[in-house]
Amino acid sequence: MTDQNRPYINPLLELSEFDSASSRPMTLCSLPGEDRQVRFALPTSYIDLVQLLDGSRTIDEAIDEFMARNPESYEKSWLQKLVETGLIPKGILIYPHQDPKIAGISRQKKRAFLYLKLPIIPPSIVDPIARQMGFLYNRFALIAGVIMFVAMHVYVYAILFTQHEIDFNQLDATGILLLMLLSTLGTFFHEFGHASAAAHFGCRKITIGWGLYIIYTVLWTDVSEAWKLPRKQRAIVDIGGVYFESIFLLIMLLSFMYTGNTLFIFAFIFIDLSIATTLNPFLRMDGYWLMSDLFGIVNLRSQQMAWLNNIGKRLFSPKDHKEIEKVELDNRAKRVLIFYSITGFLFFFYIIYIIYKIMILKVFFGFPDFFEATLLDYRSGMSASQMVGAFLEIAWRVLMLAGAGFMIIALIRRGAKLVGKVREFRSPDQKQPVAEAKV
Amino acid sequence: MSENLKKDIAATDDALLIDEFEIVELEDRLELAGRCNGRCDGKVALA
Repeated sequence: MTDQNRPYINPLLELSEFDSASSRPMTLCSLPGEDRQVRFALPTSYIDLVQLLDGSRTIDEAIDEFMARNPESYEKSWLQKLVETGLIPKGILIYPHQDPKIAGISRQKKRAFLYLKLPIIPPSIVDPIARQMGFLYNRFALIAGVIMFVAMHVYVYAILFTQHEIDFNQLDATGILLLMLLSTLGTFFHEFGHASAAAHFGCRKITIGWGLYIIYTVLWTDVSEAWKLPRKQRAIVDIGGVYFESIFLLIMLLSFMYTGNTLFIFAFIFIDLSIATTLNPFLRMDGYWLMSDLFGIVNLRSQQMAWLNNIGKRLFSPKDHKEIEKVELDNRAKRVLIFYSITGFLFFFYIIYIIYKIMILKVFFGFPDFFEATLLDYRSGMSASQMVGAFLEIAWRVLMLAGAGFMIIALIRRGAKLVGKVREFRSPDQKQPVAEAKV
Repeated sequence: MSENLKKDIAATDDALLIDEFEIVELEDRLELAGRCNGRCDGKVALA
C-alpha cells in the first residue's frame, strides 16, 4: 500500500460553521497557504468524509465507510473525484510528503482585485489599537452613533447651509492641501473602523494598506478573518468604516463650530461624498461586502459572473451547454443576485463611459497642457504649498491613468477570452459530457 | 473531456473561485475606502 492511497486531513485545518444563504449547510475550512491563509466554504456533508481520511484508511476504505453511513448521498465515482480533484488539490487533504504549513492552494491573485496593493500598517500595530477601540461596538455606543450620524447631517444640510454661504472657490492651494490631509485622516478613521469591529468580534491579523482600484487610489483593511463570523457581525464589520468616519465628521463639525473655519465644512462634505461612494454595491467597497453579507451571497461578483456566463452559454450553445458551477442559493438570495447582476451590468457600462469621458478625453489628452501649465507656474515662482499641491496633482493623474490603462488591458484580455469561448462552444466537436449527478 | 473544454473549465475556475463540487474559495476581504480629496469624478469632469 502506498501513501498515494492514504491522504489525510491537514492537521492545521480549522473548521467552523459558515453562515451563508446556500441552500444546504456549509462549513468554513481555513488552512495556511504559501503566503497567506486560504479559506474555503464547502458543503458540510463532505466533512464526514474528510474526517474519515485520518491516515488509517485508504481513499476507497474511507469512501466505503462514508457510503455505509450515508447510503443515499453520493455515487462512489463522484466521491472519488471529489477527493482526488477537489479536496487534495486544495490542501484540505494532504500526503505525508507535503508540508501542512503551506499546503493550502489559492486560485486568487495575490493583489486580489487591486492593480497595486501595498501593506502600510502591519497587524502588530493594527491589532492592539483595534482591540482598544472595540468598546465603541457595544450596543449603547452603536445606538448613540446612529443618532449622532442623523443629527449632525440634519444640522449641516438643513440648518448650517441656510445660514452660511459655502463656496468651494474660497479654497486656495494651502486649503486644498489641508483638505486632502483631513480627507486622508478621515479615511484612516474609516479603516480603523473596520479593524476595530473585526477585533471586537475576535478577529486578528488585520492589515491596513494602500492600493489602486479601477481609477481610485484607496486604503484597504484586510479583515479576511471575518469570514468566520455570523453574517450580522460581518455586516457590522462592513459598516464599521462609515461608523468611525462619522466620528471624524463630528470632529470636523465641532472644529468648524469652535473656529468658524469653513475648511472643516468642506472636509465634512468631501468625506460625506467618499461615504456615498463607498456604499455603492457595484464597486468592491463597503456596499459590496454589506450586500454580500446581508443576503448571504458569498463571492458576490463571482456569482454574478457565473450567472452571466450561464446566460451566455445558453445563448451560444443552447443544446448542450454545461452550467458553470455556482453555489445553490435560497430563493431570496437568487432574486437579489439576478437584480444585482442586471443592474451591475449597466453600472459596468457607466464605468466604461466615465473612463472614456474623464480619463481619455480630459486627463489623458489634457495631460500635456496641464504639465506645461504646471511647468510655467514653477518657472514663474511657486510657494512650497503650491509645489506640493502640483506634485500631488501630477501623481494623482498618473495613478488614475495607470488604473484606466490596467482596466483597458484587462478588458481586452477578457474580450479575447470571451471570443475564444464562443468559438469553442459553436464548434461541433466540442460535445460536452453529461455531468455525473448526485444520486 | 476535450482539452479545450478542460482549459475552459480551468479558466472559469480561476475567475469564479467555485468548483464543480460547490467548494468555494472565499475572496480576501479587503474593505476599501477611496479618498475623495475634493478631486472626485465630477470635479475632474469640470476641470
